[in-house]
Order: sequence, then C-alpha cells, then structure tokens
Amino acid sequence: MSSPLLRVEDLGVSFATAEGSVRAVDSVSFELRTGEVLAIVGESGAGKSACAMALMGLNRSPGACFSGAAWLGELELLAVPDAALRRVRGTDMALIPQDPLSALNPVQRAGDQVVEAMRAHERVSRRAARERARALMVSVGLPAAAFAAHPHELSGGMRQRVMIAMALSCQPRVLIADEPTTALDVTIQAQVLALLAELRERTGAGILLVTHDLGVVAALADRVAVMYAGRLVETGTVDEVFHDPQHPYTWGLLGSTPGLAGARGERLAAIAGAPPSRLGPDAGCRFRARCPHEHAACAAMPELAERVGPGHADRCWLPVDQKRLRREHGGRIGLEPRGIAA
Amino acid sequence: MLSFLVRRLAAMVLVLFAISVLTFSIFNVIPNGEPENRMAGRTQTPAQVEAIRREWGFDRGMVVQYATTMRKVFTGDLISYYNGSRVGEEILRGLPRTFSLAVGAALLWMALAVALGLYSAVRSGRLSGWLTGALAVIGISMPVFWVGALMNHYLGFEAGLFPNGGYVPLTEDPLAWAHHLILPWTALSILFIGVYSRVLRSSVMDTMSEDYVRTARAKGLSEGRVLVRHVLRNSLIPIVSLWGLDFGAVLGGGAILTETVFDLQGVGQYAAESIDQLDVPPVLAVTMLGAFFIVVLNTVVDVLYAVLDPRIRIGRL
Repeated sequence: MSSPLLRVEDLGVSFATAEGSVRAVDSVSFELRTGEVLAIVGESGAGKSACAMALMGLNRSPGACFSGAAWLGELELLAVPDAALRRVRGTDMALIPQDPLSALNPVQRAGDQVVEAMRAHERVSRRAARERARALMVSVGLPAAAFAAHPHELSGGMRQRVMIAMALSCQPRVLIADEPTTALDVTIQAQVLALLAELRERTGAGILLVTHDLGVVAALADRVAVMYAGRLVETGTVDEVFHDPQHPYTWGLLGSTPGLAGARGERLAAIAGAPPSRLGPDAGCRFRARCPHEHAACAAMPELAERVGPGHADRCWLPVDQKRLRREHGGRIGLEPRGIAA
Repeated sequence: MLSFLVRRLAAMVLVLFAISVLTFSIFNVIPNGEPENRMAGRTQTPAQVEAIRREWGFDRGMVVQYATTMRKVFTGDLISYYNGSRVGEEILRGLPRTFSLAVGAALLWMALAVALGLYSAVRSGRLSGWLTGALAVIGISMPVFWVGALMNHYLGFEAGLFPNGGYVPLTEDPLAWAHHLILPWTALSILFIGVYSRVLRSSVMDTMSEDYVRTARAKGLSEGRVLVRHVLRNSLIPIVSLWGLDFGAVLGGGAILTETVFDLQGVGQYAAESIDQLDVPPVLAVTMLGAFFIVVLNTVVDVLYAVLDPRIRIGRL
C-alpha cells in the first residue's frame, strides 16, 4: 500500500469560551490516500468542520488550542508556522467550502478569483494565468462567460463550480470539501457530486469530504468516518458502515435518512435527545445519554477498535453478536420513532 | 454603467431643484415679517427697502419671487446690502481657499483613517489595537476651535514653525501655500480621522469574519493581500458615504470654525461674518453653494459605490 497523502493522528481541537474550554475535536485519527474519498459524517456540531479547518489552519486563533499531529507528506500541519502553512494552502491542499455565495468575494470577478489563486503560488504572467483559469473553468463545466461575471450574476451551481475551479488551480493533492453540496438544490447537488467523482478519477487527488448527508457519502465516498460529539465512533468502508454498522449512533444516523432507512411509507426514526456538552471531562461513552443499549460498561470511554474485522472500527462496548442481534431484532431498535415535522 | 450614470445625474438635478425651493422658502417665505426688511440688513433705509421690494419682486407672486431669487444667486447678481460688495465676487475670492483646505484635509483624513482603522481592527484584542482605538476617541473629543487655537499658539506663535494664519495662493508659491495650510488641514482632519477610523474598524472586523476572507486565506494569499484586496475593498462603503457628506460640506464652506481659527478667509468664514452682520444675501448664496456641493459629492459617492461594489449597479437610482 502506498503511504497516505494525509495522516491525522490523535487530533484535538479546543476553543476557549467564557464557560471554559470546549473540546470540539478529540483524539481523531484517520488516513487519506491518493484518489480516495474519505467522508467524515456527523450531525451539526460534531466537530467535522473544526477538524477540516484545523488541517487547513483556518481556525487558528488566540482562543484555539490544537493537539496531536497531522502529516501532509513530510509536513506536520499543526506545528508549522502560518507562513509555511500559507504555501501549502491552495497548492497541496485546497478547500471547497459549504456556501459558494458567501465564499466568493462579491466585488471581484469570478475569473479573477481563480487567477488570484494561481498567481499566489506560481510565477505565471497575468495573461497565461487568465488562459489557464479560463480553460480550467470550462473544464469544470462553466460557460466561458462565467470568467468575467461577478458572483451575484452566477447561479448556485455555477458558483460552486467556480469554487472547485479555484481549488483545482494549483493541482492540489488533497481536496477538503466542507459540505460541498449543502447549500445547493438537489439537481445541482447531483451535478456537483458527479464533477467531484470525475475529478478524483482525473487528478488522483484525495478528497476529504465533510458532510452530514449520507446520500452524498453513498454517492461519492470510499470510506466513512462517523463522528459524534468530537470523537470518531465508527470507521470503515462505505459498504461496511452502511450494511454492517456497529455503533448505535450509526444505526440511528442510517435510520433517520430517507432512502437508506426501512421500507417506503415507514416513518423515519429520530435520535432522541441532544449531543452532550463538551465543557469539562467525559463521563464515559459520549453517546450514552441517548443510547437505548446503555449498560454498566458505558461508564468508561470505549476505545475505537477493530472489533468486527480489519479496517472496520467502532467505539462501542456491546459485544459484536449482541450488536447484530439487537440491530436485527429491533430494526432500528430503541430509537424513538418520530414523525418528520412538515 | 452608463445608464446608471445618467439616472444618477437626472436624480441630482431633481434634488438640486428641490433644495433651491426649500432654501427659497426658508429665507423668504417661512419667517415672519417682510423679506425685504431682512434682506436690507441692519443698516437699512426706507428707500433701500422699497427698492429691494421692487427689484426682488416681493410685491408680486411667489413664482416670480423664486425665479428672481434664483436668477440673482446663479448670475452673481447678489449684492450685500450691508457693505455694497458683490456676493459672487466675495465667494469666488473665498473658494480657492476653501478648496485648498477641503481637498488637502479630505485626502489626509481618508488616508490616516484607513491606516488607523485597519490597524486597530487587525490588532483588536491586543494593547496596540486598544491604544489606537483610544486615540480615535481622543480625536473625536477634541473640538476644532480648541485644537486649532492650541496649534496656532504653540506651533505657530511660540515655536514659530508655522505662519500665524492667512493664505498664499498655490499658483503664487506652492511651498508657502502648503506651509500655511498644514495646521488647518491637521486641525480639521483630527475629528474626521477619529470618526472614520472607528467606523472603518467595525466594518473591517465584520468583513474579516466573512466566508470569502476565509476563502482568500485558503487560497494561500499573504495576509497583506487578504487585507487589502478582500477585506478593505469590502469595508470601504460606510466611510465612502460619510466622506461624501463631509467633504461636500467642507467644500461648501462648512468648515467655519477651522477657516475662522486660522483666518483663511474662505467661504465658511465669509458666511460666519455675514451671519454676524445679519447680512442675508451672502448667507443665502453660501447655503445654496453648500447644498450644491453636498448633492454633487453624494452623486460622486453613488458612482464610487458602483465602482466598489458591482451589485449596486443593477439597482434602480
């Protein structure tokens, strides 16, 4: 196996607040390989974006504290000074953001923003950069006229294509896509996903896909890391996690997704309760308060370990046979069924 | 962009007309008593009052009165009944002085306010940011007549570094021109720098939390480029609109205190002295002039908006 593009070890991110230090991300480890799409999935506030932004160094601030390590090749991203990180941003590692309207400078032409990304790192003439940017924008499916357009003159899908062209401008090895389809409507989502899949084939870039949309994961990802309250609770291939989920939170997540849950016409299940506060120390498994299968062992934090097979890890104390039994018998057992609010 | 300009210019003409009607009403219609009596001022004689009544058409309809007043204002036909001087000539004499003060001060206060505002925004949360913020408040709190008098006394009179008031035309001696104006420029700018840098600071801090600034950083741009190209350009609109109002007002003789403290003999000082003498025609003319500059500058500002922010160009008027 080739060495990974990106190796994250024991990443922790905490932010100082008036109430104390909030641990947004706790001991998260994963690897991303060439041409691979790794999805980080979780509900809002799970720490997925904080994790992605930490890799880009975009949430560095006086109140933020980082621990662990993140290796991009030979470079340790958490330890390098801002200036060195700046050379990596855009060249080795690029961001595709969530909301392409607010992520584009409203007063700058779309093409100029792509050109700017190129010229930030490469010594190319303005004219050559323009030509390259134009070609790049056409290659991600934009009309030629988009080059001279201002962001407000473009549609949502076109704006996201501009962001993708900008991210690709220096041929990065790692793309960090932070909810790339969340702000788009469904038909455009499909187009953008198809474009990302094509890019992975064409450029061989590794894509770190941050999302809460399991449909997007199924469409694009090779491996999944499920995140809950700042920690990974289950990792594995898409097949393993979707068809043999090990963690009760993953069951809940799958059960609450239309299309992935049970038969047509059946009610979607919601996970009762809300994620725990992350001030102060842990009292055992973080999903405990919402978990219908809680038992004595849950008072201690379980390790993320490969319990069913190599590559498929979960953070749950339940014995494997118990999990299968409970999952099969209860369907999406114990997870309180609720109607979807209209 | 062209149709935008045409629309703005048409709107400007309309506003100017409305202002002229308003000014006419304020001076000649609304106050109690006969307008010819006020026009004639302190040193009036019955014959003069009678002559003014006929000349200005105060014995005829309102439309005729308005037309006569505007004709007098715009053709320079206006005469001060206090000392017999021609108002148009007096204003033309004062305008270069007022312009010199306004243009220099406006450049100075814009440049320093942008620098100070940007710095205190970037440094917010640190001592240096707090200090620059405090400096701005101190600037806002110092009245021009006080700062100006102090400067005049200590830098001009005691240290002898600057001339004690007065004005030398730019065409005569550029160095002496600037030398005479350094103190007035500084005194007038201090207040504006304080206000503008505060406004810019908060607008920069809002802009810095925008997603597109994060995008700019994610592209790997240097912090300086992020600030100038992405933050500053998007933060300028509030202070550009302030600038239009203030620069217009100073051009039209609004810097009465500064002009008077440094004895620049500009339009503002002329207005102040005329008010002192209850001399209505000059005050009428300066009021129209000030309104004119403010309206023109606001149109300039609207065009600047459109240049700064392409989204504004599609809006109506």
